[in-house]
Amino acid sequence: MDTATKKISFLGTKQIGKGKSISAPQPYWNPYVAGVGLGLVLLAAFVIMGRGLGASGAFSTVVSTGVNAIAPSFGEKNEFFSTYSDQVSANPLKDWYVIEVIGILIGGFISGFLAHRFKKTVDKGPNISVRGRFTYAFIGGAIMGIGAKLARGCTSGQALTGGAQLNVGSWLFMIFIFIGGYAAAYFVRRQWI
Amino acid sequence: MKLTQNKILAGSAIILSVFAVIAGSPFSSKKSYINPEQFADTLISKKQNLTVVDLRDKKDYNDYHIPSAINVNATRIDPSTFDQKNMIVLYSGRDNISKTIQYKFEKEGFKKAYFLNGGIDDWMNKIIFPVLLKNSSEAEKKNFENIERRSMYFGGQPEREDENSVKKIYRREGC
Amino acid sequence: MSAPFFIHGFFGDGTSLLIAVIIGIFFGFFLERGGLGNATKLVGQFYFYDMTVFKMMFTAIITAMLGLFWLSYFGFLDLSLVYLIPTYILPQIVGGFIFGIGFVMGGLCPGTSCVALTTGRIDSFILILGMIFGVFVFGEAFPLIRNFYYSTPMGNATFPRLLNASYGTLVFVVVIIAIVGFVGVEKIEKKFANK
Repeated sequence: MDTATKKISFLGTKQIGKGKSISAPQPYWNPYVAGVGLGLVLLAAFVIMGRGLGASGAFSTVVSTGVNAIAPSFGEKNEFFSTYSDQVSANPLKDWYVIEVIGILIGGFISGFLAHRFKKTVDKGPNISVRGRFTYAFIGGAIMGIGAKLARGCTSGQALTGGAQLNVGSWLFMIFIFIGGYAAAYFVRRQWI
Repeated sequence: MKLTQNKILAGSAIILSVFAVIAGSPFSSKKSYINPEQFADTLISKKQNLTVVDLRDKKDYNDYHIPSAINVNATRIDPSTFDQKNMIVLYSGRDNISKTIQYKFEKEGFKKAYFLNGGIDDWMNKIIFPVLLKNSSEAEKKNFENIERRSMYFGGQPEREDENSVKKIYRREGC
Repeated sequence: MSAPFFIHGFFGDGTSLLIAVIIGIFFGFFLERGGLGNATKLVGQFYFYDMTVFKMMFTAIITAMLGLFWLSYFGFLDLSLVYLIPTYILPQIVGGFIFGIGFVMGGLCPGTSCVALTTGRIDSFILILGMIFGVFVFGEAFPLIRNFYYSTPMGNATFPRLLNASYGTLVFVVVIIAIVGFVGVEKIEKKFANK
């Protein structure tokens, strides 16, 4: 290294060489500290709204709203889609999760931006092509969509929320996510390692 | 540095949870709601000093209201016009409104004010139009006779699910 | 017992949506801070080179769990008014297993996919399309799986109620399990790093 000062400031800017500065991605937070932060957000949701967090619910609302908007007669015949056009909704806060997801998009961006971790890229292992990654991503996403609907939630809505409430179904769901993940890991290892 | 940080976190969690063991239960014994089944049985037993309040609009009230309920709209209700000695059950379409009003009563010192858990929705689904699902257990099938009797007391229509059952409303639960 | 605030009528639907964004922003923020907006980091959980998923999830769970317990105990929060997702044993077990398979295939879950999306990851966009497709397929197939979807209901089942055990004791048990898990997981990571 030369004589220039190497300074890692709050925004992750390294000064290497005179006048040259590279914005390096900051290291991630201690996962336990980030976890406490997550837990406090979850607690805030319980205390303020009386409900936990959620993500898959927003996707359901988007799909149903889309179906009812594009093909309303089709949506009415299907019990699943028609509930979303009901006056009496079983969940009056269904729009809440859509707005919350918009918040997640913003929050993720803010954190990534501040930490210089924003990068237009494809996250994948070294032994697979981008197209292969996209294929896995789409299929994996579809499978998760089905699993989340069956279980009435995803990792945020069921595992985190229900987990904190000592909810039996949520804990079972969470345990089987790990079982399923580890079971399938060997078969998709080409994508990651 | 990281290690000490984690140890502090872990230590705090352990301490808080040890105290939790000592504390036992986080719930206070006082419930602020009554379930539809319990409420139905209370009505059948013709309990004295029971006031039932329908918090909805007049139109909804006239379409259907729980027997013996009076109609006082949520926006106009005043706890001071009620007797604190009576058991008061408040209900709305679901329970979002009734929860809020019940809390209002609670703050005014009412110790026997409850909201109907699930409101008219659950009253309809559980008391007036109860359904025995096809794949119920034997115990559930036996118990359904009591549920049927209770339903018919209120002029309801109990139903045992079979191939020709009326389409049920998909209730979205979870997130 | 003033909390939950919304249920006690402290504010209306409009404000609740504003709160939704704010909570969402913090949610996404902490997810990204921990690194869960990156699929290769997330799946490290299943290949043992990065156990952040386990660490963050369980830390969040015990934090919120302890918070719920104590806020309720001291009369600030009415825990009985907090919404509990009803338990349906079989669909939730099967759903979890399926979700786990999709999780290791896709590398992101619904929440983290949003974080990945707004940090530039194109794979998350494809994954989100996949999830939308999956939900649509579920809706289409719903009449066929309806009975399964509603099978094995247990209503509002929490472990204290199910096992007829002290809530506080179970909180302690969960904390101990989590911490033992953390210690174990740190060892696994070290072992992998040395390989």
